[in-house]
Parts: sequence; C-alpha cells; structure tokens
Amino acid sequence: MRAFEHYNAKTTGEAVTLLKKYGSKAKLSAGGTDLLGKLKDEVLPEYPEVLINIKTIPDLDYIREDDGTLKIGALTKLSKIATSSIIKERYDIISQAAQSVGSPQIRRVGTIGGNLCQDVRCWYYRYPDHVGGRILCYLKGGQGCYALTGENRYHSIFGGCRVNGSACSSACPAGVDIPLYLSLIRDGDWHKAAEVLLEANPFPSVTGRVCSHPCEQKCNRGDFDESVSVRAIERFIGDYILDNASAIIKPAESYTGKSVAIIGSGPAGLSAAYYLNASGYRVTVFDRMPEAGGMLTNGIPAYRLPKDVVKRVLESLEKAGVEFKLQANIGKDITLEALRKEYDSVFLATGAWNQPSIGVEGESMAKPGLELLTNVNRGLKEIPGKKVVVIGGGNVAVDLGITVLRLGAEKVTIACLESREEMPALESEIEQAIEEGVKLMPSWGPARIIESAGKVTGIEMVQCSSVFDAEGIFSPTYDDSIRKAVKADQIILAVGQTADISYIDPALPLKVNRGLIVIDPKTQETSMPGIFAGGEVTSGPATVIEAVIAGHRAATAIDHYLRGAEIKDGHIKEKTDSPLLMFNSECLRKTSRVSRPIVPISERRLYVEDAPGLDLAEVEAEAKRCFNCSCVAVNASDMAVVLIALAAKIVITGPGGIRIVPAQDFFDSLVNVLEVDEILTEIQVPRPLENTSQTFIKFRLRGAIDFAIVSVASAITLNSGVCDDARIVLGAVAPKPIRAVAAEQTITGRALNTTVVEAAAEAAVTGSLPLNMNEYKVRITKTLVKRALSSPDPGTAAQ
Amino acid sequence: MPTDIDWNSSTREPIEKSYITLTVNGEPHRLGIGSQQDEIAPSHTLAYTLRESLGFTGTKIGCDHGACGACTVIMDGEAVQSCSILTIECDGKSILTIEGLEVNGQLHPLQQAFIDHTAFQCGFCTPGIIMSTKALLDANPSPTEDDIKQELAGHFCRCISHYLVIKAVMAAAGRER
Ligand SMILES: Cc1cc2nc3c(=O)[nH]c(=O)nc-3n(C[C@H](O)[C@H](O)[C@H](O)COP(=O)(O)OP(=O)(O)OC[C@H]3O[C@@H](n4cnc5c(N)ncnc54)[C@H](O)[C@@H]3O)c2cc1C
Ligand code: SF4
Ligand code: SF4
Ligand code: FES
Ligand code: FES
Repeated sequence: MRAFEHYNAKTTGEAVTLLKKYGSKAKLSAGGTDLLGKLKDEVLPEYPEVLINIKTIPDLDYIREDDGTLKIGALTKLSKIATSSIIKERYDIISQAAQSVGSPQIRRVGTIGGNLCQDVRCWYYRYPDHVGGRILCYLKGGQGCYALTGENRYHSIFGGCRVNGSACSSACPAGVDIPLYLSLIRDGDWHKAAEVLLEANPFPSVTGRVCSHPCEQKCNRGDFDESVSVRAIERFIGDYILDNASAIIKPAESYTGKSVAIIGSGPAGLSAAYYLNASGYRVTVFDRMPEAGGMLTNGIPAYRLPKDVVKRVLESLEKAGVEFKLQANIGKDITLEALRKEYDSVFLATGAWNQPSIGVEGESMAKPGLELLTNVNRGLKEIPGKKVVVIGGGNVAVDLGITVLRLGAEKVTIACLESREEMPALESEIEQAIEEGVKLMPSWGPARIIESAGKVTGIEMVQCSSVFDAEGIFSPTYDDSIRKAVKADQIILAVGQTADISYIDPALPLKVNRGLIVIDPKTQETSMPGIFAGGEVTSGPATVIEAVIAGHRAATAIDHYLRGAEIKDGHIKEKTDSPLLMFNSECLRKTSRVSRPIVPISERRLYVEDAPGLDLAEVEAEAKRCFNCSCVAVNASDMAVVLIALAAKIVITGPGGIRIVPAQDFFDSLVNVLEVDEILTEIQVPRPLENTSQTFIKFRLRGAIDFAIVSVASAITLNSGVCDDARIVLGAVAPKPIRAVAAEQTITGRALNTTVVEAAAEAAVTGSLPLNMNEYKVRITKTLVKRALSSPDPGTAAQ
Repeated sequence: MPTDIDWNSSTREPIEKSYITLTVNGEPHRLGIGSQQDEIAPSHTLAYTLRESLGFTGTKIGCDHGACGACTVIMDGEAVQSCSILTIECDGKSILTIEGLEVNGQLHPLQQAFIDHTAFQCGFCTPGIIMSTKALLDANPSPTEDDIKQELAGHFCRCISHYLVIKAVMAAAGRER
C-alpha cells in the first residue's frame, strides 16, 4: 500500500471535521475490509492522502429498539447483527443478510455502515493497478466502460449509472446532454428530446449543419466500431423543432416587465434572445444589416447552411415574442447610453466583421472576403475573377475558395502562412475544397499585389518559415530569398476579421483590450454594470456553437442581474446522478454508423445544401447505436437489499448536523448520496407488522466468501391470505439495489397463488436489459422472486 | 446517537500518538509510528507487521484480500484476518499467532490433532485454520460438525484437506465420530 496519513477519530464531530478539511483526499476506515483491498490494488480514482479511522468512535456500536424503531449504530459489526436476538426475532432478514456476508472473519470486522457504503463490484474496476496497468474506466475518471462490451457476466441487468458525465457531452462545448436526448428518441418522445437539446443549444437546426462535432470525435463508440452520428441526429431534431415551432418555441408563460436590448443578431445575440425571452424578458434585437442572422445569414455559404433554415429560426423567435429592429445603426441612430437607459440591460454581440489591414503593397485592390460571402448570400452572383487567390487558412478562406469556384472561376488558390497541417480550417472542409479543385499554397505569405493599369495581374508571395514562436504566439517569420509570383485577376482577403467597436463612445467606461470588449468569462459581464457582451466581439473569430454558449451564459447572467441575484456561471452542465440509464441491447453488436455522404461534385450548387439529412428511420436506428455510456457495475451490499425491503432509513451526519434519507434514496447516485464530508451514523428500521413475512435469498457460486450474483429480499404483509403491502428488492443486478415495483403491484390486493406469483416473477424482470453474457441473471432473478413469494413462513430463506 | 453532537467541543482534530502497543503471544511490544525502517507505517497491515517487523512468519499471507483465511490470527479472543486490518488501528490489542500455541516445547492439542489426522498437505492454510479453530473451541468447546464448517467457511485449502480438517477438529473437541 502506498503511504497515507492516519487519524483516529474519537468522536463523530472529529471525523466530520477531518472530512471537511481533506474532502475527497480523505477516506473513512470502518472495518476496512472493502477499503484496504482497494488501497492495495490502487483502484480508487484518487488514492487517499488521509485515512480516518472511525472504529475509535465509541458511541456508534449499538443495537436497540426505541418506540417501535430498531436502531443500529453504523459501526456495529455484522457478526453482532447476525446473532442479535432482537433482530432475529422481528427483523430476521437483517440477521440473515448479515450472516450471509463473506466469512465469519469478515463479519467480525466488517461494519453495517461499511457494508452499505462499500464500492460497486466490477472486475475491470477492481483489477489491480500494478498488474498490467490501470484500467481507466468511467468510475476511475476515464472515458469508457470495459464491461459494457467486454466480460460482463456478473454485471448489471437493469442498465447503468452515469459517472463523470459522458464523453460526447463533455466534448460538446455547449454540454448538450446527448445520451439523454438520444434515449428519448429511442422512447419515441421527440418533444422531450427537443426540449433537452434546446436546454443547452437553441439552434440545433443550425449547429446540426455547421458544428465541427467534437462530440463525435470523442464518442466512445468510435473505439468499438464507429462513432454515433450525433450531428446528423441533431440536425433532424433541429428541423423537427422548426416544423413544430409553434408548439415548442413558445412565448414565456408570463413576462417580468423588464426588457433587454441585444445588439447584433448573430448566433450569440439570437441565443441570448431565445433564453431571455423564455425567461420572461421583453427582448429587442438590433442589427445594422437589412436581414437578421449575422454570420448565419451573411457569412456561412448557403450550400452548408440553407438560408431558409436561418429564416425559419428567426421566424420562430419572432413568433415567440422576440422583436427585431433592423437597419438600426447603434452609435448613429441611437447611442449605447440611450439604449442602456431605455432597457434594463444590454447585451453586445456585434461580432467581428472588419477586414484588418495586412500592410501589403496594393492591398486596396484586394476584396474583403466577408463582403463577398455576404453579397453571394444575398443572391449577387458576379464572378470576382477568373484566376483568384484567397489569402487565409481558416474556415472563411475555405468557404471563399469553394464559393468562388462554384461562382465559375477557372482557378482558385488558397494561400496561407500556416503549413498544411497547421491550417486552422476544419480538415474535412479543406479536403472538400481540394476535391472540388481548389489549389492550396500553404506556407506562403503575401508580399505585394501586382497591378497593371489599375487592374490586378497577380500576387508576389514569400515563403513563410514559421507562423508561431516557441510560446505558440502568432509571430510569422519569412525566408525573403524564396519568392514566387502567382498570376491572378482577383485577390480576396480572409485573414482573421476583427471586431468593429467604433459604435461605442470611447468616453464610456467600457473596458476594451486589443479591440475586443473585456468580459468576465463566466458571466459575460463587461466593466459597465448591466451591460454584457459575448461572441466574436469579445473573442475574435470563433465558432457558431461558442457564440451560442456565450449568448446562453449572458442570458443566465442577465436574468440573475435583473432579479438581483448573485451572478453565477450560467452554462448548464450535464447532471451526473441520473436514474438508471437504458440503451438498446442491439447497440452491443457491431454496426456501421448511418450517414449520408454529401452529393457528388457534379450536383453541388451555390444555393442548394450539399449534405442530405437523415430520414426518420435512419435517425431512430442511429439513436439505438448509442451506448448511453454509463457504469454497469453492481452494488452487491447484502444489507442494502434487506434494509430497503424493510423500509429502513439512513441517518447521515455532516457539518450541518444530521439528515435522514430512506434507504432506497441513499443509493440514488453512484455509489451513494453521501457528500465528501458526511458519515453514515445510524440505520433506523420501523418494526414490521406482525403479519409481515420476510424473505432473503442470496444466489452465489460458493456458500461462503462469494458475493451475491443475484439476491432478493421481500417483506410481504398478508391479511387473510391477501397481500396488503409488498416490498420486493433485488440486489447485485444493477449499480444500485432495485425495487421491483411492477412485481409489488402485481401481488398487492391479491392472494399469493401460483398464477399471481408467476406473474410477479415475470413483472420483476420486465424492462431488464441483459448484457451479452448475463441473460442468465434475468432467469435467476425470476426464480428467486418466485421462491421468495412462495416461501410459506415468515423468515424462511434458502441460501 | 449523534443528534446531540456538541459541535463546539468535539469538532477539533484528533491528536495522534506516535506509537502503539501491541501484545503478541503474551508479550507487549511498543511500536513507533513513522516511515523509518524500524517503525510501523500507517499503511502496514497487521499480517505484514507480524511477519516482517516482529518475525512471526507462522502467519501466512495468501490472497492479501480477506478471501482465503491464511492470515487468520486471534485478536482479543476473536479470529480475524490480519491482512485486512491496519496495525496502526490495533493499539492496545492482544494478538495470538500460531507461534503462541506451543507451551514449553509442547504442541497444542489442536496442532497435534492436525498432525494425527494429516489434516494438511503443504500446510500453507494450516496456521490460519488452527487459529480459527482455537477461537471456536475457546468459545464453544463442543461444536457440532456444522458449527465447524460454518466457522471455517472463510478458509481456503488448495490441497483439499478440508475433510481431514473437520475430523481433526472433531477429535480435538473430543467428539470423534
Ligand atoms: C472476501 C470478501 C467477501 C465479501 N463478501 C461480501 C458479501 O457477501 N456481501 C456483502 O454485502 N459484502 C461483502 N464484502 C464487502 C465488505 O467488505 C463487507 O460487506 C463489510 O461489511 C464492509 O464493512 P467495513 O466496515 O469493513 O467497510 P470499510 O472497508 O471500512 O468501508 C467500506 C467503504 O465505506 C466507507 N465507509 C465505511 N463506514 C462508513 C460510514 N459510517 N460512513 C460513510 N462511509 C463509510 C469507507 O470509507 C469505504 O470506502 C466482502 C468483502 C470481502 C473482502
Ligand atoms: S462497469 Fe463500471 S466499474 Fe466496470 S468497467 Fe464499466 S464503468 Fe468501470
Ligand atoms: S455512445 Fe452515446 S453516450 Fe457514449 S459517447 Fe457516444 S453518443 Fe455519447
Ligand atoms: S491472506 Fe488474509 S485472507 Fe487471504
Ligand atoms: S494444506 Fe495446502 S493449502 Fe491447505
């Protein structure tokens, strides 16, 4: 075992104080029978720096009955529980379960608290770190579950529990709960799926087309066969949302009476508008352009993002109550100060539209790239030239290259300082440009635009030897001796647009740095109270999804600001403590991803979308491929099963005092709901009614030492042969103990004859989701439930 | 019940001792806590201390995970697995190991019974089994065969001597069939 510090806590208070001090760096040691194994094998996500011995707390070892409630101190040994006469008499399944744990030696040392808090069982998780390397699964902070597609005979048959988020959602800049909406699609609940998506991303119809989908790059399925086509599904739901916009994107239920002005109608502004409107603020979006949408309308070419999609997005916002004021020139028509007075808050999202000067002779002859894209998006189809050189290596440059080619240019060259590998544009888009005939000239910088009689005739380039310095800062160096002249009749500049903030009166105390508005990155607040900013006007050129997130964050912060609450980081992250997660069992077989390649070159047009979308059946099939990445280990605590069956409660002590939770809820998240500074201190069990029959059955390979493969505990109250009340709990079948609610309902109000018992056994496993190797556990579960319900006397159990 | 924790008086951090005392086979040992060669590190298990620091190598380490019983010793009258207990948490305890059974060069009757019944082949599991049996017989001098099986359920014998072990224990308890 590696070293750790060790403390002997003499009171619960001391233990809590230490836990509070060391947080996740500390571990409690009760009996130590589960803990020491994990320390020796170094399997814990974080090796503890401190061990707090709680065996030394004297007042947590007791069994007594107070007012019809059995109370067991957390440090009571299992051997004592197994032989306690009070427990044997009235709560017999507790003593049976205690007696079934491990071996006599384990029971003499192991405590009931430690038993309930023990870690899950999974041989990948528990595989010793020093033998062949660490198996870095979800539970250890990794990105994948080995059991899901590996050796899983002892694992869950009821789905998994999410740990540390999922790979795809963690990779999504917006943190969209991807597996959740995919599971809703599998359930056929499109409306809910749309809502989940909209919670983090208001424009899936847009991002479903233009996002660089880091979620797919990180998808765990990629290591198994092929990643899930998340973006294509997102696009489908995005279009579904637009098709049903009136039912999904609705005005707020009530409006607060406060108003917000948003300057700029690009993705950042629209995103803020969407969320603020939904939270009940009157939103007015100003834009200097004749059409709203910013980059979405003017920048991104229609073959990637059809303009009717953007129009429908804008319409849906308008119908939901967002007001647009176009051709409004802030700074000229109305000043920022006036807006700030008129509205309760202002959000600046004016983007980055300026073409910076690059200081090259003849520069004035060149055309600014964004202007050309805007013109083309407005339908202006003039050919800029026959031989065109685009300067720049980002996505705008690549969009320009393809656009100019499709406009009819004969030869298009993209020249950039970066080497081919360093080009910032998306690889897939560079490849598409090359495929369509665009020539690349990486590692070349413009030296001089050559003209003759007022017309461009070419450009002189100089070799660029490096773009970034040792610290990664943009600082190009050239080899002046290597030069090249390229013939061209048009030069287009696409070299990193800058923000135009000239509309802001420099006298205002608004902090600006290098031409960008300075903000608090967590809240998007500027240096002026009530004024927020986001998108490219604060970051410089970035992506659509990043702008959308900034808008969302700003909306949350503005909402807090206007409600007078403390301004917090407003971006929603995925919850990790969801209920059991289901997937489609077919996902465990190897399959290929459903995707539609973009149309052949001969069919590609300027104003028609290149990439076809998926149809309904394809989306449904693809959603079924998602693993719903989760941990499928089992909780094998025998005490948990019987305590839940007897409706026990768990007393938890923390820095703020005690809280009491039903035993069932104690296991609501993986491994339990304890906070890092809390201790389980007592178990309380209400005395069962006289006519309650209790059964505990544990199925395992060997009669001692082994953990349960399946266990069942039941507490059935019978009145003249009819079941009044039933609690049936299954152990070792899922990451937490499972109440077989359907089975309980099947027998309640009925006499327990063979037919009813059969039906209950069947009900107990409905909705089960066996993995490749553990179908057998479903059958064992059924049999055990049948046996438990057929057991003639209270308290008779087989092992 | 912790409901009435006096948060003012009990929420300080504990003050730790720099040594523990451990009685092994009747002899007290004062063991310093620390990371020096002759000290007990907090991460040392009782099995490790017995074998490596105190030289009681009769106690065996098989699985080192509480699952085979080879390391069983008697602690304050109870048979426990010394591989799954930290020495630092044994302050003031009294331990009996296999070495402590022999009196004046005379084997303990249990040890003799194991030899008489050839209740082992390689003998690796034997010290642990004998310690469990000793604790059992001390508490219950005339166990049934089932009591013995229950008590020894946590012991593994890779040489399959279990049947002879039961005979030996029954004989030692004077209940030979
Ligand atoms: C060979 C073997 C077989 C086993 N067989 C079974 C079995 O059949 N059935 C079964 O259910 N279990 C079994 N176990 C698991 C487990 O060791 C025992 O159930 C035992 O009861 C755990 O108690 P402990 O006091 O030793 O826990 P510890 O190891 O001390 O603690 C376990 C975990 O809970 C935490 N913890 C302990 N007490 C508290 C508390 N009061 N509040 C908050 N956190 C706490 C610890 O920090 C630790 O992470 C087996 C273990 C072994 C080694
Ligand atoms: S089941 Fe859980 S513990 Fe096991 S490999 Fe998967 S994530 Fe890890
Ligand atoms: S399989 Fe599903 S949950 Fe897992 S990373 Fe891929 S999309 Fe996300
Ligand atoms: S070595 Fe201790 S139980 Fe196996
Ligand atoms: S005698 Fe060899 S292990 Fe038991």
